[in-house]
Amino acid sequence: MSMLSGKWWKQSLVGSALLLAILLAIVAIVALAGSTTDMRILMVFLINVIAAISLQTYAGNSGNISFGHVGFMALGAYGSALFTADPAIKAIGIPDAPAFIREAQISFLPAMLIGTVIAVAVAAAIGRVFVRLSGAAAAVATLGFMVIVYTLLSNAEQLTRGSKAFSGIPEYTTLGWCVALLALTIVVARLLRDSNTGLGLRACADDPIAGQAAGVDILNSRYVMWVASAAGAAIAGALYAHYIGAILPKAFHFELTFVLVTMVIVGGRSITGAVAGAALITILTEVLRRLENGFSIGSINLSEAPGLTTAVLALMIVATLTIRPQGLVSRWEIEELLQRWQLRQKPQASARTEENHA
Amino acid sequence: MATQGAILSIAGLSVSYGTVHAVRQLDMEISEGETVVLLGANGAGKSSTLNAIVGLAPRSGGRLVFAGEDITRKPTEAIIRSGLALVPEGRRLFSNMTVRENLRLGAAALSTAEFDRERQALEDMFPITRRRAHEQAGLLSGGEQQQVAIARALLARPKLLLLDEPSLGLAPIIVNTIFEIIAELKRRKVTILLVEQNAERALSIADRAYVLAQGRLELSGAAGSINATTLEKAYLGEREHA
Amino acid sequence: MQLAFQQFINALSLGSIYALVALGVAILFSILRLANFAHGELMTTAGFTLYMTLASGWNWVLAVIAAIAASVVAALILERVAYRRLRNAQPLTLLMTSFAVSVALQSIFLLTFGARPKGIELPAFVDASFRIGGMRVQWLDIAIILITAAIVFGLTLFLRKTVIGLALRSAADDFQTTRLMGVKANALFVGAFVLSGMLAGIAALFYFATVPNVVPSSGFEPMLKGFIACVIGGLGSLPAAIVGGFLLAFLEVGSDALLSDNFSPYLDAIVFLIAIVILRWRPGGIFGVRLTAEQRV
Repeated sequence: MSMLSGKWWKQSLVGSALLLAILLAIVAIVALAGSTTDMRILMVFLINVIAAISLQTYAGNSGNISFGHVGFMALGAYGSALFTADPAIKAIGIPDAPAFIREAQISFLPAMLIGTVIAVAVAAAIGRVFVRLSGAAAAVATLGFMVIVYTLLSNAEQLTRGSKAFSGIPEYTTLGWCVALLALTIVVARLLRDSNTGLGLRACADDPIAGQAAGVDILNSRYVMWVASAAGAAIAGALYAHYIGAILPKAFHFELTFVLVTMVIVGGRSITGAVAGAALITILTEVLRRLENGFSIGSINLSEAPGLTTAVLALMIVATLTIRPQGLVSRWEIEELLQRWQLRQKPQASARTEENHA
Repeated sequence: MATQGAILSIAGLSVSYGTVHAVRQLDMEISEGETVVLLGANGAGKSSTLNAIVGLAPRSGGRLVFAGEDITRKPTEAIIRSGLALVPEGRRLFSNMTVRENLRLGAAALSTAEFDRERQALEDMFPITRRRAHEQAGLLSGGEQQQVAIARALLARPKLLLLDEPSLGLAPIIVNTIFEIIAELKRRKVTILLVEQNAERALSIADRAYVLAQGRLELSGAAGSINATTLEKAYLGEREHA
Repeated sequence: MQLAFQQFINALSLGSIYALVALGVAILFSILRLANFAHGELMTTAGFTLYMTLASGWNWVLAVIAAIAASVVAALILERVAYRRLRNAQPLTLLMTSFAVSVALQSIFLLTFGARPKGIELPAFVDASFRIGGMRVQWLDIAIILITAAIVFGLTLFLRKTVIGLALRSAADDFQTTRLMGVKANALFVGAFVLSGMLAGIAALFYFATVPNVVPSSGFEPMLKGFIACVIGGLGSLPAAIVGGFLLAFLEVGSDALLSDNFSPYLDAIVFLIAIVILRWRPGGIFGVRLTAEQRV
């Protein structure tokens, strides 16, 4: 649709504004009425939304899933953490690290940029492999990439303290940072999705032969989305590191991958879907955890979820996929959902008037 | 509804793929020993009808009775096991497997001893299945593949054989061979429902004919009563009953 | 020279395990287009069964039978509960379902057995070895190699000589036409899951004989290796899965032998990186589409 109208980006901005308005309303409600625990859940939710939207920028447009984006989150997290942590703590924790890392103590934005640049560089270097794969092969290969990053981080003890927690990361991540970066992620993701590149790619995901016949360069388009989504994931990783204050490789492994990919698949194939999926999974996780612990303050770290919560969550996901395989919002964005809802209301309304006339 | 002796009776069959109605309210009957041809232009719903009979196409309405048994809601494999066989459009041999292996699957429900007996009986009619038994089916020519596909369908001794465009994509000389085989099956009293584009050849071999246009039955009657003019009208959807 | 021979035996033995896992994965993928990430949990099921039966003093033959039976039963339960309703689902939905099933099973193991490693009390003969020309060779490695060879041979016979084997092969080629032969779709799915479960059980026996303790996430690593073997061989083809399994093992043992000890913790990363380089060169796997199309066993 967007290609037909000259100013396609207008729709992207309208959609972004709508999505952001809903998220801001949630933020406002929790900030005003919620407990400290609720705030912590909200922060993790916002970071997860950034990560899910980033993953969706690749998965939703290309029709290819990636199990590797948690790797980019890890790179963003460690990249940013290494340059910001207190040198006194680093002198004890990683005494053998190169001096420029050990002695560095820079502010949040440049550190986040370093983490993002590292992730983007890695994504750019290996992306050509993954954009050629599809279906299960793509899933397996990206999962392999996640394990590569995990293996490197958990063994590079001189740099990361290996599988032990890397702590002393300044807690820079505020609600303001989260909201600002979330807004940026949503707008960029919508612009990418509605651009000719995104539109062509989505057309190819539905019908590769027709799409390519129409002149879409699948591999290059996927590559653009892959690199962009790695950048978004790295930002989410950096926010996470600076929110929790301590990270370990295990936090960026199988479980976070599962949570993130589930958000995207359960949500549907749009940016709105990623947000809806993240919201649903967060709510489910919290409800389950509270049922399990009574109402005590649970750990906010998703990777520490005890067995029962994860088992029930996984089974509910299987059920959701069985009942609604296309995801919560299918392929639609928020403004399209509103339009469709209005269109569905209208014929009913006119039918009712006709009845009245008769 | 079902007439005495009807092996298959179809009442009010509809097939739709989403919002596309491929077949609408079709009534049809085939008696034992008959050769019936189903004609129609491209997209008239002929293949959809055959696929709906064996449960591969989504049936949105109607009732199917085969050999006195209601098969409307049965899964494909149960319908096949009750004595129907379909030679699908494009032959659809398992191209990576040998001719013999293809035949063995055609008799999936039979024991190996029974299979060997049936196979030997068929090999005289289809010498190709003996001569090239151990070659990969995908390497055979189109006409040879069609013979193997028909033999594969006959192995389970079906009460009704459905043939979907057996001459499609074959050279004229090979088409002759295929029609000779169908004529031979007719002589052997195999009940046949044939879908064909080649109306003239099909009518010359059939007892009765049905003509579909846009999913609706346009014309039905004895094969001899249908000529080029009535057929043309029916193809264009001008309803008339012979 | 002696070292090289020992490494060669190691690689063959490791490759046998990977090949068995990869075969189990490839069977389901070729017929159902299902990438069953829960294959690792089928192996873990066998592992815990082995632990429980041996710990309560069962004869090892019975324990082995129980372990294989447990993973077959688990595979059948998965088919019935999780996958049967999703037969016509999108590939991505199937993929996510199997991922979720895998996570759910891991959590159930965690609830049941806890996170602490459970040591499997292997019978003494597992460590038995013999000497040949000054080299020590473990009987276990020889047994793994020979039994795997026998399984591959038996599987080939089964797929070529029995009607259900033929039907499984034809279903991988053209599922609808296979149903037109009167073959029951349910029988095909059940058959595929039984085979896959058996292969997972046997692979688990060999795996846990070399790594004799089991944790809830034990199955993840061999599962991932099996999948990567499938992908670098050519996903969906059984011969390619076997070749991919051995290739992965030789890469692993070879890298370990050639690189200095500093690198050995990074071995998985290095091997996966090589796998990614192979995929860059041949996105369809080493055998690519050609073998998949023409020569499925």
